Amino acid sequence: MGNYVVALAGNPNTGKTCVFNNLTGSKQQVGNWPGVTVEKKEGDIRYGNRTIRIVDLPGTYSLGAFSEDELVARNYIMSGEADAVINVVDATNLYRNLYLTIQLLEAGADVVVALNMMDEAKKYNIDIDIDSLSKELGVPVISTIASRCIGMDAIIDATIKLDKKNKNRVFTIDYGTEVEKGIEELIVCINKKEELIARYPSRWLAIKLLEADEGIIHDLSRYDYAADILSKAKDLRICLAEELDTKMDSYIIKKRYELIEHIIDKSLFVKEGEEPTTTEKIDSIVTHRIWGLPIFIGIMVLVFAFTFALGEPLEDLVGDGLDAFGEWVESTLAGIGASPIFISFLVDGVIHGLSAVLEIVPLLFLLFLMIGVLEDSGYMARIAYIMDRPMRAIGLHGKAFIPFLLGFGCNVPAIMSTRTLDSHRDRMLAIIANPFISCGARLPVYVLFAKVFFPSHRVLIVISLYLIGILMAVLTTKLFGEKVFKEEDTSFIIELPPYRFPTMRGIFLHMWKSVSAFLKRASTVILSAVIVIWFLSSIPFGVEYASDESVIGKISSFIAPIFKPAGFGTWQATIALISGILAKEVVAGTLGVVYGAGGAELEAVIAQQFTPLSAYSFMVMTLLYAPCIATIGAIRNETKSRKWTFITVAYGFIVAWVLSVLIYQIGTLLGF
Amino acid sequence: MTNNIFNLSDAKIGDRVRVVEIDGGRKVTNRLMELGIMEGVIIDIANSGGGPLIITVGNSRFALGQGIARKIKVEKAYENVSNN
Ligand SMILES: Nc1nc2c(ncn2[C@@H]2O[C@H](COP(=O)(O)OP(=O)(O)O)[C@@H](O)[C@H]2O)c(=O)[nH]1
Repeated sequence: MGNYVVALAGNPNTGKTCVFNNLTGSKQQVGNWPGVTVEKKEGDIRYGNRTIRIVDLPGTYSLGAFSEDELVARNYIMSGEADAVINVVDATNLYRNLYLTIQLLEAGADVVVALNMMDEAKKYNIDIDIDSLSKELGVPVISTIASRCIGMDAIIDATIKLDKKNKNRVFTIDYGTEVEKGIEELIVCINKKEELIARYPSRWLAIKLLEADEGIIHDLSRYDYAADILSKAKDLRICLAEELDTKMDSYIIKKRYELIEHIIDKSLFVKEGEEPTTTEKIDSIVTHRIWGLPIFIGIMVLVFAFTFALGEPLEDLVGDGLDAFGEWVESTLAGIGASPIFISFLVDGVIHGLSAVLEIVPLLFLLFLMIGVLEDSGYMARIAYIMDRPMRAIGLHGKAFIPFLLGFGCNVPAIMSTRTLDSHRDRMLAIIANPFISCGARLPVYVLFAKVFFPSHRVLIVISLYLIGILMAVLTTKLFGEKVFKEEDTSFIIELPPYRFPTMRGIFLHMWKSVSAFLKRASTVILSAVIVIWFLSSIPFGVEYASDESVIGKISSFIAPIFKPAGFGTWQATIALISGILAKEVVAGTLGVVYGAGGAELEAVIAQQFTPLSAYSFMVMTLLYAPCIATIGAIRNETKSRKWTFITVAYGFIVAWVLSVLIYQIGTLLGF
Repeated sequence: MTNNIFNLSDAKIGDRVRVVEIDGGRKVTNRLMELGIMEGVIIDIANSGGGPLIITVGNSRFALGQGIARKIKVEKAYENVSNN
């Protein structure tokens, strides 16, 4: 028997991630669903002598065709690759959650319901008759508390048992005499086409056609043999809509809810109790009309203060450790008579280059920790609400603020997160402006320069850079929003999940995932960039390391004059910027390599090479110019447009150049 | 009774209303229905005034922009009871 594959489906905020983490532990593989940028998580677990593969589907409210997430989930369910589906359902929210369950059942999936959040249900006095629910749905229902790991084995057991049962059970909803007649008629036509029966269950397809599901219609319109079915479905839709005096899609959704109401009547009992919940109490403060925004700003200040207060000493620790390690390697190798080129490769190239990068790992850890806490506690959704009004001033709505916030960690997940935005316009604006948000990788450059030139105003300087980034993002959104993407989207809606205490385990896994992705990049892209730069700095062999006689010196000397008006027309600064396109972390690393120094030595060299003004102008350049390769890749994927990818990159460079030049020239005039 | 229908965007904090009609395009209507917001459903208003509203439907809370809220036509819930 081959691998047993189980898909995890559920609404957002039901504890699905928690269930997935519990089941698979840290043995997760993260990739992408083919053709789209929706993240795909998988993991294998052992059950007796067999292996079960768990596939996490994107969290969705339905299996419609409105978003990429929903399509991914639906296509996977319809592909039949999964032997069973675990549907994570929030017990405190059965009415809405069962809508997805019903759709899974209609699609013919073999479902086990994990009735999660049972502890909260109890708190709300919600009493669910599990046997009755299971009978009504016709599938096993297991009660779970994912945050405390309760019920996990039981779900797997139930899923495995499904495998042994016969699978002839069919779940149907009675859509009423008229519509059923229409469905029958369509099924007769569908069943005449071998090609269609092979791809979709006929009843499901008939219903989707009556709903005028965009995904299905688009799919079928590619095949000549389906043309008559499409036109028949269209006629039926019009006919039935007239007969029933309603839109067909609303009618079908309503029928599903009627069934859910029936199920809930039989199996759910809520004992009265109208006192405000904790969530309501917290919300009445943090989403307050006047206090909401100041509280949010206060929380952000705390988040960043905490991150930097704790991160900086750790960063110095890592930096000093690596410096000492470099010196030790150098003297040891020299002692055993290793070739100078090899020593230079290891010390000047690899160690100096990487140490500038690894130094920020503690900071990234803390930053992702804070983002994890904001997300898992439920506050993130409130941020979207609070920021709706300010965001509206720049022509976006509150949800579009989240990608900008995530951008402070890393622009890649930030740009990927734009797919939760409903309109194309909002996505494009959030993507184009996102690279201006200063990601964690740019920080080492600010930290290095601020330490050398503005020792007593370090924090102020760093904050000013963040603010310039934000300002540029705002202006860019406004510019493109008013001149290019005009139709504004007015449909802002977001669920505000109940506040919950994040679990250590959940946060840790979240953090680990992000940091390990960064480390993986550090050990591949960044390391190779560092090696290439070392190599170019060393050839032709015999020249002084990274001098203007080296190949790299020559290339950069050629380009450097463009940066002269910005105050840093040196070839060293130029090469750092060029290599920074590979990954922004490399900018500091490259300076380390081309100056052949790390730590305190590097600081001394920089102090000679830059003035405070040109240092600031260089920092602004680093902040704003072309996004890194990974981000460019994400932009290309998400916009699905080469033109817009190019425009975003070129636009960034022009803005960066103009601003650095302005800063340097005006600063010089003012006598700085 | 039909005179008492108003836009959800005009509801006040603490109001309890019933959805009478969703007067939007297909996309908006279906999205709302998927979230359980449709004709006949009772909505409590937890926050309103200028910006987006916060509403409670069953045990779910949503933040809802003014644009969408204007498309949701509602009436005061239990109104006919008090009129009797
Ligand atoms: N009280 C309680 N909290 C839970 C339970 N399962 C998950 N959570 C918490 O709910 C929040 C959202 O969970 P998550 O797994 O991220 O939800 P997802 O959006 O469905 O993936 C987290 O803070 C979890 O710790 C549960 O059974 N009971």
